[in-house]
Amino acid sequence: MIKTTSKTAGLGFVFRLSWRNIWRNRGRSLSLMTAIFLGLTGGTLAMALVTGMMEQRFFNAIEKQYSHVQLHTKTWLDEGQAGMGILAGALLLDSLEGLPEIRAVAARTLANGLIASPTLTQGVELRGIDAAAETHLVRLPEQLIEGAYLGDTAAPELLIGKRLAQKLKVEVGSRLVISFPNANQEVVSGSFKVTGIFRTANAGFDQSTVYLHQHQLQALLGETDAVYELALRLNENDSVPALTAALQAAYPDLQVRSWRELAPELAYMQDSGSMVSYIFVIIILLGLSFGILNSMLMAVYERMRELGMLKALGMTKSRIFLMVMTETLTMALLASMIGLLTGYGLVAWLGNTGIDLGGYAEALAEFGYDAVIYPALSWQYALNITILVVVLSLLASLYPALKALKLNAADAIRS
Amino acid sequence: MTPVLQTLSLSKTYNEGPVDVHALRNINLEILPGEFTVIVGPSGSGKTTLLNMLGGLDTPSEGKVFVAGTDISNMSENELIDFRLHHIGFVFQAYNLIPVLTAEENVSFILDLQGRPAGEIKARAAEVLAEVGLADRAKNRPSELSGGQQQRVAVARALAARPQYVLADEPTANLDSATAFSLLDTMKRLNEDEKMTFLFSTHDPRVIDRASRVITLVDGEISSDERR
Ligand SMILES: Nc1ncnc2c1ncn2[C@@H]1O[C@H](COP(=O)(O)OP(=O)(O)OP(=O)(O)O)[C@@H](O)[C@H]1O
Ligand SMILES: [Mg+2]
Repeated sequence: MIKTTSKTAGLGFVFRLSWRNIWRNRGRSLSLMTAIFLGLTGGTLAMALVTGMMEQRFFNAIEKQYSHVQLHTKTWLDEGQAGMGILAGALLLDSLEGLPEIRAVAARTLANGLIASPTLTQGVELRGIDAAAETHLVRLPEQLIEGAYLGDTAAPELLIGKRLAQKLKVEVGSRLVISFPNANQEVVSGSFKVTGIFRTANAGFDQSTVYLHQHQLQALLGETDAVYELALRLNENDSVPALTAALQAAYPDLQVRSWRELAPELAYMQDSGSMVSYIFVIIILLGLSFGILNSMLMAVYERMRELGMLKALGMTKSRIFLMVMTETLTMALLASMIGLLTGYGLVAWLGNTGIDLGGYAEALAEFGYDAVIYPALSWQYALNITILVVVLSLLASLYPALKALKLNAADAIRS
Repeated sequence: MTPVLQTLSLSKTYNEGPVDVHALRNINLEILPGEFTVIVGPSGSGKTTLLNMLGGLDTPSEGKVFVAGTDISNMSENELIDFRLHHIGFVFQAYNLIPVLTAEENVSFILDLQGRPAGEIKARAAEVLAEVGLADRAKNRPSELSGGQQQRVAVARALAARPQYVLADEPTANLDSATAFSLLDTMKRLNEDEKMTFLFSTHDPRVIDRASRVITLVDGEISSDERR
C-alpha cells in the first residue's frame, strides 16, 4: 500500500527551517536587510518630501490665492479695462453666499494701473477688497510680513508685495501714488500710504499686486458698487467641477473658472500625482531586487547538498520552493516594515517641525513653494510599497527557487 | 516470506560521456524482512548506483524494482519523492544533517513532513534518539556533535518513520574504526530490536563479519551472494 502526504503536512517545518536559514549566514542576511531598510527609509522620506511640497503648494494656491472658483466678465478677461465689471455683481454676491456648497465668497474691484514711488513707476493690478471678507477667503492678514492689515476704512491705505516694495525702495509708512484710467477713459489718481507688506509663495504675484479698500477704488473709478471678480471657497474640493458647470450654465455671460483652469499647472500636478516619486521608489526597489536575487542564489548554491538530501529524504518540490520563497519574503518584508516604520516616524517628526530651507526661500517662492517643507504621506503609500516589495521579492527569488528545484537528489548527495 | 525489496533484470547504463558506462547489469535480487545485508565490491563496481535504484533516487535503464510488492521503476519524480518519504530510510556518507536544526529536529522533521501528530512526533524522536544512545544530546546542533554522533542521529532519523528498509551508502566511510564499529553495532542492535531491514555498502572488509548477508559486486554484476 502506498502512503501519500497531505498538502499541508510539514508546512510548520518548512517555515521554521526558512526562518533558521535566514540567520545562518547572519552577515549576508543582515546586510541585505540593511540595504532594504535604508532604501525604504530613504525612499519614504523622499516621497514624503515631494508629497509635502506638492500639498503645500496646492494649499497655498487654493487657500491663499485662487480660491476654488472665480467669476469674471469675458470682456474684462479679454481687455481688462474699466467699466467691464460684472453687472449687478453685489446682488450676485448675495445669492451665491446662500448656496450650501459655499463656505466663503468675496467680491473684488479690479483695475490695471501704475504705481509710482519717488524713484520708480511700475505697472500693477489694483485689487479693491473687502478687508473682512478676504480674511476668510484667502487669509490675507496671515500673508503680511511687515506692518498691519487694512484697517481704518477712511484712510487711504495700501498693501503691497515684498518684491514690489524692494523694487520701489519703499517701506511701511511710505506714500505712493496710484493712477489708472476710469470708465470714461480719464486717468484718475490718488495718494496712498503703505500700511503693510505681504509675501505669498508666488513671487510674480508679489511684484504686481496691490491691495486697497474696495470702496476707495470704486470711488476713484467713479463706479459705486462695481464688482469685477467674484471668488468662491467651497466646503469640498470635490464639488468644484459640478458647481463650476452649474454656475456657467446659470450665467452664460460670465466666465466661470475653477482653480483647474486658473492654475493649469496645479491641475497637471494633481493628475500626474505622485507618479514621478513612485518611479523613484520603484527604481530603488528594482536595485534591491537584484541584491535579493544575488543573495538567494548564493544561499541556494551553498546548500545544494543539503537541498539534495532533503529531496532524497522526501521533501517535495513544492515545499522546497516554498522554503526558498518564504526565506526571501520574510527578510524582505521584515526589512521593509522596519524601513517604512522608520520612514513614517521621520515623516511624522519632520511633519511637525518642518524642514527649514530658509536659505532658499526666494528661489522656492519663484516656483510657488514655501521655505519650510512639511513632509506628508498617506497610508496608501505604505500599502502600495508593501505590495511592490512582495511582488518584486517573489520575482527576485523565483530564479534561485527554481534552481533549487532543478537539482538531482542522487547527484547532489554523491560525495 | 514476501521480500521487502526485489529487482528483476535491473540494469543501469550511463550514456553521458563519450562511451556508455554499464554501471549495473542484469541484477536479480531479493531482500527479506529483517536482513542485515552489506554490499561490497571495488570502487566503481556499482554499489552507489545499486543503492540509488533501490532507494528510488534514480530510475533504472532496464528492469524493475519492487518495494513490498509495489513497482517503483516507472514512478514520476514527484511520486518517488513521496514514496521515499513514507517507505525508505536513508543514511548518507556525509551531509546527512541540517546544521541549523538540533539533533531532535533533524530526526523529527521526517515525521513532520509526513504530517504526523505533534505528540507522536516528539515521543518517537525521543525514543529513536535514546535507541542510538543520544538522548542527552537532543538539543545539540550537529556542529556540537562528533562525526560518529552525527551518523547516529542520521540512523535515528532513518528509523524514525519505521520505513520498509534503511539504505546506507558507506555510512562509516568518514569514521575511525572504533567509531565505525560502534555505529555498526548500533545498527545491528536496531536490526534485531526493531526488526529493521538494513542494506548498506562498504569498502571496509572488517565490517563484513557483522552482516547476515554479503553481496559482492564486480563490474556491475553480482559475483557472489552469501547468507550466513
Ligand atoms: N552520474 C553518472 N554518470 C556517468 N557515470 C556514472 C555516474 N554515476 C556513476 N557512474 C559510473 O558508474 C560506475 C559505478 O559507479 P558507482 O558510483 O555506483 O560505484 P561504487 O561502487 O559506488 O564506487 P565507490 O566504491 O567508489 O563509491 C562507475 O564506473 C562510475 O564512473
Ligand atoms: Mg559509491
